[in-house]
Amino acid sequence: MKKPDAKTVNRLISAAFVALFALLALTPLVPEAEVGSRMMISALGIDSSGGVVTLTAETAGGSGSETVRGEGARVTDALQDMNERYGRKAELGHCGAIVMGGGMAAEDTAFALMSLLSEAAIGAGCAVVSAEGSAEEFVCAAVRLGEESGDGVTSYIGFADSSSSVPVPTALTALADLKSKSGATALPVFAAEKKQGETADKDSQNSGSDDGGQSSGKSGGETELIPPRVARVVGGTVFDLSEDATVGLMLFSPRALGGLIDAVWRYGGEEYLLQGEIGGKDCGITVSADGGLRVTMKADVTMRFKDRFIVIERAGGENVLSELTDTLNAAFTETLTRCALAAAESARIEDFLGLRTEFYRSHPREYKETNGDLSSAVTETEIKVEVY
Amino acid sequence: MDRVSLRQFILLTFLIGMAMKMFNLPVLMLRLCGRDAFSVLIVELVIDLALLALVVAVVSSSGGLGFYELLAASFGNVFAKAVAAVSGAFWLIKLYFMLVDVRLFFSNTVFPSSVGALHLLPLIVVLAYFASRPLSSAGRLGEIFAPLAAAGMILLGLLTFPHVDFGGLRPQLADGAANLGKGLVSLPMWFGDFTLLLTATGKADGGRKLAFSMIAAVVSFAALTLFSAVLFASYGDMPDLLTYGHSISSIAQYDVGSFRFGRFDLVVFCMWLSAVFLSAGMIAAFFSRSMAYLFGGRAGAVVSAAGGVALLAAMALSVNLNLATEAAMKYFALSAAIVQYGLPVLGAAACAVKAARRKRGEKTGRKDRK
Repeated sequence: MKKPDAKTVNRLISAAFVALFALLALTPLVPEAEVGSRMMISALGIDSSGGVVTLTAETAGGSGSETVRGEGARVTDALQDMNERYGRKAELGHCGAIVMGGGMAAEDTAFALMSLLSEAAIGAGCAVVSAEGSAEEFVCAAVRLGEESGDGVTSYIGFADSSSSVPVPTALTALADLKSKSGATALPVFAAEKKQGETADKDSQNSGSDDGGQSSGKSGGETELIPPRVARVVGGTVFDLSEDATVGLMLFSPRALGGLIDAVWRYGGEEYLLQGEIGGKDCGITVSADGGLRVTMKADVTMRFKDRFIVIERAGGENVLSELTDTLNAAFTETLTRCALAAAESARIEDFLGLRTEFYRSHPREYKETNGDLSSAVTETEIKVEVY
Repeated sequence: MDRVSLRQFILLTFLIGMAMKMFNLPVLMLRLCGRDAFSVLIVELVIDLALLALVVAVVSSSGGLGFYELLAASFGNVFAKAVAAVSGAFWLIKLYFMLVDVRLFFSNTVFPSSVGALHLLPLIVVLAYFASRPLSSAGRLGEIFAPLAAAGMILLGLLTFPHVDFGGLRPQLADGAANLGKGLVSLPMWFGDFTLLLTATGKADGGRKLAFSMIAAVVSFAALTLFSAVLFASYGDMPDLLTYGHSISSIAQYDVGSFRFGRFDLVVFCMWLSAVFLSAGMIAAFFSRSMAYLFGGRAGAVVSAAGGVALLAAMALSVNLNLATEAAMKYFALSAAIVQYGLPVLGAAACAVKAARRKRGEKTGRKDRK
């Protein structure tokens, strides 16, 4: 038999590859591979009560979004229930946000995140937030409002992450916090509130109330989304941080920058309320064990102040600009120091700042000796603000 | 022409340096050694750099002989054939474990039910084709794939590293060096890849300049170390969360927030994946060349083809891939260490014997002339 030449062999190989890739067109014959047979989940709400886990999900489809539900003893059971109820398999690979119900304890939160992350069902970069009430209520309200504004729950939370004063952790960072020596995490609190008897004007403008947020008058009472102002600590106990402590948390969270911070500026015997937003920061918390336990919260912050005319109109004459900025720096330093201390105080209840983790990382031997007890530690702050 | 240029050799070094280490390895290390995995990785990579130096020395000083010809010239035909048999069998086994890694990655990261042994058939066909091509084809593919792999790494790195809390790597070796020893003993299957470059023995241009491949290896290892450090720092407190098949891709954008940017990581990771196919091709080439040396032209090709079929059959029979991975750690660690670190040592010894003989010959020649 005549041996085929190299050109013929190459042609045959090329043809074989074309045939193989042409088979890709037949993927609809494989049910798992057909997108239409999947329920693409873009946000997932999780409630846990009385041993029953309830999932409420926002799905993303060609014609808009809808909410779907599932129940079970665990997250995996509830997902299976959801699949069976709607006859499609839930696909969480593109899920952008997980909303934990307000009543979720640390154990339930960690278990739910473990279930989703260990199977690689969700991406590790998925946002995790807490609902003021139930996650179901929040997701349903947010989806309803999203239909009007054209945004989904995820983009709403994504905007909050980039612009509000509350840091939004990802699934992996939240779980890492819960599994760390600190054993606590802080989740931003999102709320959907029904406002009975309010004017319909807000609804038509879709501009929200004084608190901001989106609003809708559809389906009975008016509902609006309340932008997150505080974070909820989820640890051995669950509690909401004060606004000051939440700003303190934001200050020491590497990614969060946004949000307006109020400061009282005293000048010429008068007091003015000024607002500023952080432009950049270099922050960190260290735990030292030399000569007694000491927690040092350090932050170098640059801040752009708003309503600049209030300051500018006082410049000139004897009021040198550098003197004005010194007083402004002092005002914002005072505010941020107060917020850092408020956060540190709350961290004594549940260590959402990761102090024990840092203690373990920097002094593993002393950590073992003291069993990680930081109750006797002295807290110091070194906050430096430069306004521009 | 069965030769690789200096540039091709350097790029192959870059790709081979990271290829097999980007799938299961960081997860295996973390599960095995906790956050001490970082120390294990650093030690292993330093050992691999020394290995590369040895490989480069063999490749550049073989005097134009292929690897097995070099061994035959110094230690005799029987010895060279015995080495070819052992190393050929080992490369086939290593290729199996590499494909297990690929399958685990896709079944865990993409669709759990859609990656069976049959799906690896096209890849095995490609590998068989690759094995039959001259070395210059591998070099050319290296030139094509290296920019893709590098771009993939740079993109993922830029988007990920600034947000990672690398403090999670501390403390290292807090409970002594037991974890370090455990890691070094269990993981040789995933290291020692530079030995594959011995296929270029006597076929690489560049002479001493081949030492520049050390720079490529350092760059490749630096990227690998950084990405692995992301995983070690992030999962240090919860290694049990990870299963084999979780890869660097799974965590690459965790702190950037997929809720803001979507799953771009998979697309970028696929660019990086090209390095794996090339590395697998190099393993296939080493296997087929070992068989060709052992059995001669046509018989060698038949045995190579039989190896491909055996590989596919083994993949089809491997139901629990996690067990296969554990077997690589438990039962094949020693053989991996012996073959991968032993072959360059043998090559260096053969070069030394050859050089000593030449020197002796020169001296004898001079004496005779006198």
